[in-house]
Amino acid sequence: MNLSLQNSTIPTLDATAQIAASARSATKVYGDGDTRVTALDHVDVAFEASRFTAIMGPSGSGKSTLMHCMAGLDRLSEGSVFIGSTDITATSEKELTTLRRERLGFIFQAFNLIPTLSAVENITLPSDLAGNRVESAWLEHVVATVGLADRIDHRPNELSGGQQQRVAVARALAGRPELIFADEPTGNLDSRTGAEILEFMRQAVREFGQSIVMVTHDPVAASYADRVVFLADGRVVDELIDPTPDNVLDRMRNLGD
Amino acid sequence: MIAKLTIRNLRANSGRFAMTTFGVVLAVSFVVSAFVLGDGLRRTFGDLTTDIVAGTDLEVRPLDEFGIIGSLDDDDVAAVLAVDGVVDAVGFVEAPENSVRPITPAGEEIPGAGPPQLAFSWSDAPGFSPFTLIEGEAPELGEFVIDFGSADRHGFEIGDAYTVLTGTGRHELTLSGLTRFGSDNQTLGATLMAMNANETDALFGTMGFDSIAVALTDSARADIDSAAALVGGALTDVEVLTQATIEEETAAEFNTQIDIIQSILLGFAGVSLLVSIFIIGNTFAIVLAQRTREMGLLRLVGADANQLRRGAMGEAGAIGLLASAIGIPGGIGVAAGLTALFDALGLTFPDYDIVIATRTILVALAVGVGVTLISAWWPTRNAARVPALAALRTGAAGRSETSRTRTIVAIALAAIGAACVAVGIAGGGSTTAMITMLAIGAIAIFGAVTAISPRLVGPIASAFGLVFERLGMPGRLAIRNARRQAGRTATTAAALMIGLAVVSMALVVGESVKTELGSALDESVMADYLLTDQVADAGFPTSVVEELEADPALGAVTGFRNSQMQVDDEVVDVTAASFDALPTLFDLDISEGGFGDPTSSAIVSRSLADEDSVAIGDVFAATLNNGATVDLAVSGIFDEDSLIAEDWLVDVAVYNTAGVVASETWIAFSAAAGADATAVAAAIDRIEERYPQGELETASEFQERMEGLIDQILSVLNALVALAVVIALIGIANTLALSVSERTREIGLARAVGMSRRGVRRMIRYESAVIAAFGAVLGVAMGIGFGWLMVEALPASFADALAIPSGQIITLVVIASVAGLLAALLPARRAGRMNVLDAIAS
Ligand SMILES: Nc1ncnc2c1ncn2[C@@H]1O[C@H](COP(=O)(O)OP(=O)(O)OP(=O)(O)O)[C@@H](O)[C@H]1O
Ligand SMILES: [Mg+2]
Repeated sequence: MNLSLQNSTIPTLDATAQIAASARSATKVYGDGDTRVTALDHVDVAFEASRFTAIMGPSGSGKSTLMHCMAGLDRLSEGSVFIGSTDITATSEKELTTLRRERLGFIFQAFNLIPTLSAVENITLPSDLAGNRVESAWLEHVVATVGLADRIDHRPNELSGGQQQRVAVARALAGRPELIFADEPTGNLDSRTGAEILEFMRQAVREFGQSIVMVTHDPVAASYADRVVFLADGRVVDELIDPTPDNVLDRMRNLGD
Repeated sequence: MIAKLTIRNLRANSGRFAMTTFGVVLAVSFVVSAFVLGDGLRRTFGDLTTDIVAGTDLEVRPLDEFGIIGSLDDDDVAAVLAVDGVVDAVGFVEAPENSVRPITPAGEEIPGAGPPQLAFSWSDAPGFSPFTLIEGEAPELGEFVIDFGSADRHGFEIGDAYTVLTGTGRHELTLSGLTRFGSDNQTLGATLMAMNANETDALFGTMGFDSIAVALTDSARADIDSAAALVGGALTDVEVLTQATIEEETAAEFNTQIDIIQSILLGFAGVSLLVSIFIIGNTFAIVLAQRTREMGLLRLVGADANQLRRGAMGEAGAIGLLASAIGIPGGIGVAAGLTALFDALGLTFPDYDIVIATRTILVALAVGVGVTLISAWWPTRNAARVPALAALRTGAAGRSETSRTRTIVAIALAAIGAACVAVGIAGGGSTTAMITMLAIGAIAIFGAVTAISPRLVGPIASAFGLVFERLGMPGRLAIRNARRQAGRTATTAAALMIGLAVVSMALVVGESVKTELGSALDESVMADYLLTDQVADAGFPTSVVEELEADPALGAVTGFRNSQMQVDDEVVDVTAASFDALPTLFDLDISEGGFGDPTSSAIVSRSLADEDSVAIGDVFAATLNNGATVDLAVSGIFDEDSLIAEDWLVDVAVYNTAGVVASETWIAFSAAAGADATAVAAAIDRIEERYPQGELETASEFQERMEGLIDQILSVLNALVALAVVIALIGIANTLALSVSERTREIGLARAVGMSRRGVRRMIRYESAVIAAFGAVLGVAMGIGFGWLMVEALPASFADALAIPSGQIITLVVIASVAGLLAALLPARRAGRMNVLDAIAS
């Protein structure tokens, strides 16, 4: 294991920025013996608050694993994870549930919504589960922002894929979580609908000071972020501030070598 | 929010749950019908009881104690009348149940197996008698009256003479009038007759009155206890009961009968519930498994395990509530249906009020909701443990810890079961203690098999595979599917397993009892004919034996006079036979000693000799039932206890010397050596003519009839179990329907790569047959095991060695498997109709 390489890849951070989440020496190993896979290999990474960070890398590089571990959905084999200044590495399942409910939001590529609940019920689901009420002005604002005002009482199966993703974005925003994790949120959408969703996410960061970490394969999607972190073989290998589609593509090509 | 989700889920899955609730609805219906019927009958009978005892302030009865032959006569009545404060007193007597039976105008007896035929001494003292004369005259000598309901039913006419069979023989009596019983002749189908009090002893074979009803002056009634003491003081060896006590006693009598009906219905409810638990549990497990991703998503956005569990339990509760809501009116329907059924069977059921007590509603709700919650508990617990990551992965299931828990539970239960069985068999306690121990053991073993059964799916399915692999690809896939979800296959089959375990246990025990009976009769009965009393249980007058002995066409004759005596402060059953005739009629397998002096010896059973260490030569001071004492020396020990149930056998001389009065419970005899066949036939005809209450049979006819009785008991049990099997099959159909919808994509894929609709249908049907056969094989195996335990527990005179009715058992397994095929009809059709494109796209 090349320690010097790891040291050289610790991402540079804006020293004044607040940290929304960070991982220290995060390692995740799946399986034993012949089937042993090291999905994360001593990853050190930090995501700033009020910033839109993208994670990129080849398939199987550990992007989803990193996200799951940082969101407390899966446990690390080694190392530690912080949400803000809270070390969640060893917290109980119960506390993690509360953490997800109160401090985190999620958006996925598909199956984001409970099929038996209407759009608005899906949006307020986390607050309802926590026994809180979403402030109605804020709810209206979020719903208006994602352009769903007239679709609010429809069931997921009555909405298009793009509309469903917008509901998912609205749900993530509605509870004003400290940090939103998004795993390929536009992976299933055509480029125009995808662009709309990404625009909402960027707007949420700019206007509401939301922190978002997004996994993506698409250089154009990554260019909406403030910063891109590159993973390969379970390690952070590079990063890029203020990305454009072109320079992201460039870096991606280099990763392949 | 969770509540809202619960409601939405219920609506979305309504079809799936509909079938599930069937078993619960049925169970709740049975519970409700048991209470509605019981409460209604109790109220009706309560009113009736009040009617009957209304005029009786006190009732005098002979003391019911060993050694006192109670009887009351006219002198006693006079003595009571002489007591201060007594207004009136009348003696009553009732013939033994069914011992008095009129021949109807159609020339037939009223069937003895139905409601009882009762005969009383007539009294028209108003207020005392439950009977009111509504037409004709009170019975004089040679006359009788009957309740108007029975007269209508059978066509008895006032003024006509009828043959009436009684314990003392045939009598010609004229019908003098019709009576009403109570206020509206609610007789529950019984035939009620009354005869002139002066000839009841001659007709019924009774001795004096059973009781004296007493009416008091108002002032005497005010201090009922002193009045009772006064009346009691006027007589010896009597007890005096007050109206309140009689009323309680009568109500208690009715209640025991109502309780029987109620327990049968509750038994049905219990079986439905037991089977339903498995089916509901299974449906929940499948429906919740299908929602794994959704549960994961809920966990992801912050729902905790408790919220998920509460939501799922809420669904269960709502389903239980719904089932109860349907079951309550359903129960009233079942009660009405049963009433109609009883009526159709000729058992006129009294018109009872429909009483829906708050208790009934509460129990119905508790049963419906409770059982659903209990069944859903385990699957819900598992589902609530779904990790949040399940929302993100498709194949995130399978928890090995559960199967480990199952194994541990199974081993623990098996150990408990084995221990109970071992203690039960080796303990050497009474039959009841043994059966209790074995029952606990059996339940524990049943639990163990249920817990471990997913592990058995593999091996048993492999065995079935030998057949199914030959059925081409659909057969092969069916086996694979059954094995793939071993847990589900096992749970689905468990419901069927219960039913079949009970049936096959009953079959095995029944067969073993029959075998023992057959061998006992074969080996030990030499008598040509057995005469038993099938109607009245009152037996035959002792004169019958004398008549038979006098008949030249007949040889050896003996009766068996059952009675009781007291030995070493213990009241025991004793029977008296002719020591002369006995050895030529029966081989009692006397292993030690032999017949001794007829007036002072007894032969005892092997079990008494062993248990109480009674040995040859022991002398016992016995008090006979009339208080006379006799010293009995044990002269022999008999081993064949299938024929004679009593532990003590004496010669009739013992009774005759002591003056014991007992009728012949049953009689055995043979034709005289070298007797003319027509003379024997004539003798037989005479007996049949003279004692129509008797059943005259050869030993093999007797055996056939006994076997018939056993089969009858089995068929009642089988009706109960058929219900369980039907619910179990509905469970299989439900599980298959669910797994078809779960496997939509898979089936679509199979169709896309070329499997025909027919192939798909066959695959589902075979799978069902595999599940059913699995349940049947396990059930039958357990049933045989339990049957063996029962045979071990039963006294050897009932069942000695295990006998397996293999033909019936194989039929059972085949029927269950075929029924399994039928259960799959609808799910298979649905799978076959699936549109390939839709299936893949979904
Ligand atoms: N549950 C698991 N068990 C075993 N190995 C796993 C599991 N989940 C992920 N892996 C392995 O870990 C590695 C990283 O997987 P991960 O899903 O994080 O990749 P990814 O970067 O998200 O890929 P993609 O871009 O295809 O989504 C892969 O080699 C994968 O096979
Ligand atoms: Mg991924």
